[in-house]
Amino acid sequence: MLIDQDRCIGCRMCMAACPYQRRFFNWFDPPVTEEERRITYSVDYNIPHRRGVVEKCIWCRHRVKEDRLPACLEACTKAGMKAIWFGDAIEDAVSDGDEVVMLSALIKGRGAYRLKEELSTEPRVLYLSPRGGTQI
Amino acid sequence: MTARARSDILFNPLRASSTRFYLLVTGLLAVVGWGIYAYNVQLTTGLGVTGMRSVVLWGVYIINFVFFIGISHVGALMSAILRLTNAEWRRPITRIAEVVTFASLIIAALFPLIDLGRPERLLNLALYARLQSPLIWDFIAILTYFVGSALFLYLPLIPDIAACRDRLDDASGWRKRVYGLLSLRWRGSEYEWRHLESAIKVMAIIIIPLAISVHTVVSWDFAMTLRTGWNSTIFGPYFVGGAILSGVATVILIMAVLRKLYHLEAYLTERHFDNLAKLLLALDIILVYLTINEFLVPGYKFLQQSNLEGQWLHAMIWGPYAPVFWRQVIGGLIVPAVLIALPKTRNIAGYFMAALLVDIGMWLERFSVVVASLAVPQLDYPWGVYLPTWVEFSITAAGFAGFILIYLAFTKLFPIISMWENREGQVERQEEETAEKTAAARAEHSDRVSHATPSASRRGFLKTSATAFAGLALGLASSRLLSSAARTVEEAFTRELGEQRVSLSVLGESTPVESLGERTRFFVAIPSLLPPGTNLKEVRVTDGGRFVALLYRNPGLRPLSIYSEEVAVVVLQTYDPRVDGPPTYLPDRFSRVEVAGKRGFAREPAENEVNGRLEPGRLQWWSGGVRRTVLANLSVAQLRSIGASMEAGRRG
Repeated sequence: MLIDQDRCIGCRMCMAACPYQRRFFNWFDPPVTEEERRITYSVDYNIPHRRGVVEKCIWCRHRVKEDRLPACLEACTKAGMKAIWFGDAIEDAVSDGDEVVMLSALIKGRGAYRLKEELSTEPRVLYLSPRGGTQI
Repeated sequence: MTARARSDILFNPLRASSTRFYLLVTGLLAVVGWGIYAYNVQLTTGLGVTGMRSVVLWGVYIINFVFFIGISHVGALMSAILRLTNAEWRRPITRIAEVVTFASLIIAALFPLIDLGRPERLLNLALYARLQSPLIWDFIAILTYFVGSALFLYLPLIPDIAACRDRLDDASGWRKRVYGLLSLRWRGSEYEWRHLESAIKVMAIIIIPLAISVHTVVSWDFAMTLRTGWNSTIFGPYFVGGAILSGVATVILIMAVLRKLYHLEAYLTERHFDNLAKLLLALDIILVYLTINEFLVPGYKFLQQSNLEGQWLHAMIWGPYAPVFWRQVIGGLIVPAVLIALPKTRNIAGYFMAALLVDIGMWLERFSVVVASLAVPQLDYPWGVYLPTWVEFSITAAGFAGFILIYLAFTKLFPIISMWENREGQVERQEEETAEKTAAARAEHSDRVSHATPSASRRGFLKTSATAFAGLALGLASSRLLSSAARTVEEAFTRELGEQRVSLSVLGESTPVESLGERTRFFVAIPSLLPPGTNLKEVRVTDGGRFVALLYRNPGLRPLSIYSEEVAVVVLQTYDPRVDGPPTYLPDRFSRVEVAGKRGFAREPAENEVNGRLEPGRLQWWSGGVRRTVLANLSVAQLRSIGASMEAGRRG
């Protein structure tokens, strides 16, 4: 789901409708670096950020197009945590940057679940159950 | 009193205005000017100058939008239904109601535009419209309704405009042109009357479903989302019921004011107020019934549950939104009903009070519908907090002033009471068919207004435009002056105390420590609207002590988890021992420590505790203190020392 930052009128209807509250509005002028300013805007890219529009995580679509993984995943794997997997549900393959596994196997083996299943929103974000240990 | 003398009362407001009237207009224009200044601040700085944030993402603007759309219903519904049922007593009040519709729709349409982050892209709504979006339904419905209700106001106005054209000989040039243009060369023939009356009847039938659909579509903007508190099947009737109620209340208010202002006692009699008050009482009872439905059904099922519906209901009935909710139910529904029912207050003053309470109550009802539902965290997030800012209050005041101005302008251009629709008016029409009488009347008429020479009307025009400029300039100047004065006072205080003030009010809002002086005080905007039990707040010194961030804590949440190398190193958390007791999630390996003069608990988590939601190798403090005071007392030096000890902990 992408948001055209050149077209958004900033009514925030989509934010009110989002049952996960994962859309965000730029209430002020967001900080923009010189480097970002030089980038020509495309809908694949949230930057340069601007005031008065709604943004959301777009899974680093610009990187995925270049066959790279999202930045959060790369950072997580580099830090040795390997908590995030990203991939293609149709091809049944996800990667954490180190290895590639079958999504269906991961869902089954790790007890993956989705939030607010009851709303039939079919979110594409799955959460893995914790490995061992206790939860406080 | 002769028929002509009576109808002259209706022409009087069109002929001359008192000084008091000009003063009133100047005052209202000043409020509008102030609102324009506030909107300019919002345009140049961003919507962040409002109290809205990413959780409670709609505020006063949307509340005003729903409120004004609501009161717009009265013209269409009340006047159309009373016309169709041939209720004779409606004759003097239909136009008063129809102008409410016209004026409030103009103001209502402005508020979503003011709420837009990118108002300059408004045209995209039409260019890239998708019929799946309730927003487009809204757009279409309101536009249709506006055209329909403008026609519904205009059609019965035509004979009266013709009367203005024929009888206001002393009107200034532009006025005459307006009357000539808008009267559509009305001559009052039998043919014209027949067609006008059937057109009015057709419009009256069309306007009823149109009005009901508009407010139903507005309610769908909310009800069609997957949100707690908006999951209601009766939202359409609930909104429409509230809309007509607030509309009738507004008509009572306006009638009472116009009666005094333009001496319309002969037209707006006690009987009209009695009948309208009965209507108000009936609608009030309908809304009480709808409110019981809206809250008793989910309340019976969910109130004791911890799910989202239960949390929302709890917040509405006992929690932070209870003051708004009960004020609306008791002050806006029950007290007005009692005022109308009691014989002692069954007079115009009592009705005025009841109507005012109903209108305030309905505004509050929209507040809880919009804000309380948005504030409910949809996942494990903190509750949303919303406190309107001066910008929102100023623009709201300007909206109400603008509504009154449009209304007053109408009463100065056209007779506010339909002359031909009153029986006297119709008798007079027959009288006028005899030419002699007309001539005689004209003579009498010109006698009465002989003082009004063309130069007088030009003076009137000059006076009007001077008033407009003076009002707008006054509004703009006083807002500039006051805001700069406020800034000066604030700066003086800050200098006096040698303090720097930082207010953190939003979840995750942060400020760099380097930018703070030695004597910085943190002001935490105390959220009066937090859910019950949420009296835990956290200040988080992040990124090696370089940033201070504020986090509200929801007791339903687990302690903060910090995974990244770059973020939070110390979590300071406060709780009120009298209310909360010690944190229940406190692991047993904690020891009591004192950090920055605050006693609390600290521990070094074990390496294997990643899944226990505590970070390995980081020190964490739990600092006990009295609710709502600890943060404001932390100095920058203390924060720096916390940062330094954190750094030491990280290296060690």
